[in-house]
Amino acid sequence: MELHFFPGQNLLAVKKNNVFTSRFEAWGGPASKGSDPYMPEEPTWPGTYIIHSTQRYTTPTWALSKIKWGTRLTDKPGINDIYYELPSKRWGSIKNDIGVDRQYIVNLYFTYYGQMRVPSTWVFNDFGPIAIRWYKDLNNNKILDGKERLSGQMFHTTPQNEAEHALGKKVDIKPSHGCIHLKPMDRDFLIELGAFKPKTIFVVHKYYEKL
Amino acid sequence: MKNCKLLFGLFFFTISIFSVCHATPPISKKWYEDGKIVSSSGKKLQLDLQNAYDGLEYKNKIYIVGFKINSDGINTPQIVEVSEDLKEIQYWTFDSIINDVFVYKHSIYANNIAGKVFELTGDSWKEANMSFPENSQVVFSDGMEQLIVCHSASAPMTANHKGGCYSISPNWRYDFTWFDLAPKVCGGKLYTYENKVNGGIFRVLSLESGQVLCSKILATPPGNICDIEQKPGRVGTCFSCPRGTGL
Repeated sequence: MELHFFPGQNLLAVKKNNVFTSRFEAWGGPASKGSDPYMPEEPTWPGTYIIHSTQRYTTPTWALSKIKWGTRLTDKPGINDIYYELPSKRWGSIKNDIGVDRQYIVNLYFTYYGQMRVPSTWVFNDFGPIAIRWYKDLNNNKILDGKERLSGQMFHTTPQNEAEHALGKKVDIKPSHGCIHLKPMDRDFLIELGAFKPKTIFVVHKYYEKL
Repeated sequence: MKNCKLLFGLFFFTISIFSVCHATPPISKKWYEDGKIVSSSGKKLQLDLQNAYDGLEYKNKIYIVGFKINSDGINTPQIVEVSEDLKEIQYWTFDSIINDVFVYKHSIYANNIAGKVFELTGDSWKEANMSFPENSQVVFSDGMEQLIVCHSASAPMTANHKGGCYSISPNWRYDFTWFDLAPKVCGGKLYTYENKVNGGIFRVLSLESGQVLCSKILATPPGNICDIEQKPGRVGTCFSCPRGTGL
């Protein structure tokens, strides 16, 4: 099985025995560098890669992604804060560690889920519950080694799309900063299909290439 | 709590002499994040609010912004007006989250998270004929003409990351990306911190012109933006400041 992404068509295709068997809507970055003042959007770089792993991703680059999706929360309105469960099972402060106010989280949840409340778990990680990582296999041994590094671009869903999916609404995918955005139900289907198994070949085509 | 919003009424003469936000008037009452207010005489009042996050004292009244939270955890946005003796209490319910209450041209205003602005007219809030960008907060008001509004970049990765500050009368604007460390008036100047993917840039702006008086690259955001001045040489002095800027 191989995965092929055609960024110019917002299309991800599964190839089995040299035949494209299924297709999914998927959005990469723009064809040229974007204008985001914090982190400019970039193209999803064409090339042949190897799927490495699926993981709950965190990064300090984006405040809301410092916490893993699904982390338990405790509302602390009396001190204008929300606590989140640390790996040590102790509690950390969203206000101190993430730098967002309680009312910001209540509003964000309202934007996504239509209820002004603090959710019981963290549903704001920008990479969704699972990110699928890949790397360029420079020595063709299908093992991440030597000077090879995981790409900063990855497959993932977005919190907004996760909310739309959870509420049974139409999932409206938006372009990315360079990653590949998937619909939650397609991500789940592709995982079930085995398309994200480690060592699967993954090809990002050039923007002008069409299937 | 934003001390800079407490400088009105009898303090106008002070405002005209000093650069406003740094002087602190006597605070007759204190409010707490659990919705409690304590008067100067020690009298306590628990408001029907479970979360309070902004307050303003003006003309012997205190205005508290927060949420009433029901047993199912649903938050209802509220503004509460409390008289000086804590005896008269007025609650207003909003269908959107209020960010801020402030004074402008001798009237009380509030802005919601989407940028809609309301004016307190008599006993009700009416939509004002001005609006702010999303996620705005008023960081400076002289109570009369000048208002400095800062709007943060949205935190989600796929959202708009353009932020900045602007002033109404005199008019100026300065665009920069900030997320959580809100610009603040310290010593009569506007202190800002622009977020970069690695570290950021600290800047001091003139309240009158919006001109950058000095700037410095910082590896990490400061805990309190005003501390940069208070700890010269530790967090980082503004090395490129011209003489006479007080840094």
